[in-house]
Amino acid sequence: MGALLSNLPAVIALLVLLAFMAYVAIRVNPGFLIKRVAGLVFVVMGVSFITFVLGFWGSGPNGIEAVIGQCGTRCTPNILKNLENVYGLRDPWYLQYGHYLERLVHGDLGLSYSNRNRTVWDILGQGVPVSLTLQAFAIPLTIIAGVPIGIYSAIRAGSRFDTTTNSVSLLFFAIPSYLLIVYYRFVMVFLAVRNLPHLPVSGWGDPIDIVAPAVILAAVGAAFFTRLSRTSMLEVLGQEYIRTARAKGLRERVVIFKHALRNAIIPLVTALGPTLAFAVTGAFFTELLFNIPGVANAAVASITNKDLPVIQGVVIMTAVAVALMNLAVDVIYGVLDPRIKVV
Amino acid sequence: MADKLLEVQNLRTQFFTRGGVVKAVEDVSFYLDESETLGVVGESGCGKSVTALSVMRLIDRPGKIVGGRILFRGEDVLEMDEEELYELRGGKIAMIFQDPTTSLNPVFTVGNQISEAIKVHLKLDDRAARNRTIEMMERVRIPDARRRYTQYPHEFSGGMRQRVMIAMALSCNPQLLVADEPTTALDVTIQAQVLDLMKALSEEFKTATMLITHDLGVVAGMAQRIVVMYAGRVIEEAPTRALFATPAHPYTQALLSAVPRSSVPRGTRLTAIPGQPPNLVNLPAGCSFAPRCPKVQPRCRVERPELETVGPNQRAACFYPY
Ligand SMILES: Nc1ncnc2c1ncn2[C@@H]1O[C@H](COP(=O)(O)OP(=O)(O)O)[C@@H](O)[C@H]1O
Ligand SMILES: [Mg+2]
Repeated sequence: MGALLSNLPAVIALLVLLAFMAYVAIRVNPGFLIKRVAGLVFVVMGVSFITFVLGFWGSGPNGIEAVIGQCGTRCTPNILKNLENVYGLRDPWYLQYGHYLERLVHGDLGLSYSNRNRTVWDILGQGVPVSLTLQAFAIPLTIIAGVPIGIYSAIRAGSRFDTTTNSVSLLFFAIPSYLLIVYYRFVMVFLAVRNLPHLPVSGWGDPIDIVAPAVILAAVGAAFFTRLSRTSMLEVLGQEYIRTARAKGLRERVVIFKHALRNAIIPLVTALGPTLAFAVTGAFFTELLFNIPGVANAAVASITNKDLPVIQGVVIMTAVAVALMNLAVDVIYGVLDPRIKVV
Repeated sequence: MADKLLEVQNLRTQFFTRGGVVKAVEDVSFYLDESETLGVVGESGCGKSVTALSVMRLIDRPGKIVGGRILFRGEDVLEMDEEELYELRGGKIAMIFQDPTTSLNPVFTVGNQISEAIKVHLKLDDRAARNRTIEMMERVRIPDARRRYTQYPHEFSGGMRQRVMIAMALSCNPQLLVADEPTTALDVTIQAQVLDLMKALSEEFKTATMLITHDLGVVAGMAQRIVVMYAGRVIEEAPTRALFATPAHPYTQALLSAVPRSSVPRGTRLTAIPGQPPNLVNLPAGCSFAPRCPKVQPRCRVERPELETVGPNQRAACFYPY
């Protein structure tokens, strides 16, 4: 129960995913679904093949180095041979890839090369909930901050509010997030040495730790969503059906919140798809610089250790996430825009 | 009867753009009686739409109504506050536009879009509004109205969409219907059907119509009187018959000679006049039509002719009419 509570955001994310899948299964016609699932299989195959081939030769043949690392200082040729057998490293690459695929079909991502007795699932299972927790705060914050500001900006186009918003969002959009983090650290250190109240500059575990990385992630995302929703709303407000709505004698409130907003959010959904999909790995710098034990850390460690199965796992997981989010976007699109027939 | 239904006096509407002040409507005056159909004719860009939108107070930035009065049953639309405008728009004056495809909101059902106006103006509940909507859809002869109530605009053909717009416009019993090129975007065969429908319904509902078009063929069979606009001004005003028989302004004559005289087929466009209309930012001194006028005299280039009576109920802005 305690574990469940501490992973609450991840649990919520999982429930949302399940609810969405159930909805898709009911609403979407089977042909569309079959096509998309087939597409998903194709994506996973392609992505795993490319990563395997790149990883296999890129990390020095056969992952031997990674395994030697695991074998440690007291390594004997016998132990090494034993390990090579465990991982099947003696086989030619196509056989190794074949075995990998075979296991993948059963949902098995294999064993880590560099961590004794740890499966890839185990390693991902530690990182993913942490990353999801961070995103469970950052993404809503992104949207809650970005979209209303952009919409309001469009309604008041040309006003002081609009021009200010434009400059600020451009600034945040242009600054890389790691620079923001550097500035943030600078300010916090400045406050700390003067014994003023301040936030932690890194770490994970305390609820307060999540504030800064979530806000910094959201600032960059919100800048993007502000600009996007402003453009989208401006475009919609210039449409003739808005003039029709006004000519009908509808109140401005109804014109904006019913007729305009409903159309303006359609392009935002498209942007939301990739945003969500890259959420797991997208916060790379932020997770690393804040020393958060999420997917980014696992990925970096696996690359440094030439731990091919873990790299594979991260890449495949991201690909599946992207594909699922695209499916979600298409379905939501079909619901929002009656002209599109997917549902 | 003391008051006209609509009386526009010396209306001036301008757009304040980077390229200068566009004088889209300059000193335009006209009127409509109850139940009357008035044709407003002129080449594209002469200010017809801007006039119509000004009457509804729908001119947006960078545009502004800078002068004149718009009296609807004696009340000045330009003095109305927001609340009065909400009642006026859709309730007393309804408008339909050129392109029914872009004029309907793609994400709401047709029934939703018609009934929302009904709920606002006739203060009906959902159910009564729905019934009224379906009744209106039947009256504009949309087949199978009950089923089509829940369909979206993209499921309708162009002609059917314009019928939806007409149903929407007439659903709240307006006294005036402003139709801005209602058939321009439609196929020629559909044009005739939609015009016949508009004519029948405006007679049935006793709605006055301001029918805007660049197509003389459209107004010939519809309007009792015609106002001809050029470069943001009214240059001739006459009963339809007089205008076709004895056009006074050389521009009107040119418009008419551009189409076969005896039968004016629908779909005839007013494009056969040589030259371009003037730039509305820098209008030439004198008569705006002078540079294109076949009968131009030296006086026309220095002095602007005012609208003056040239025949029974006929007025023209020309020093040398007929
Ligand atoms: N939003 C706008 N900004 C600048 N100029 C405009 C705008 N709307 C209309 N105009 C100008 O006003 C003039 C009249 O336009 P309009 O009334 O639409 O002509 P039409 O007779 O074809 O309906 C045109 O010259 C046009 O360029
Ligand atoms: Mg027009």
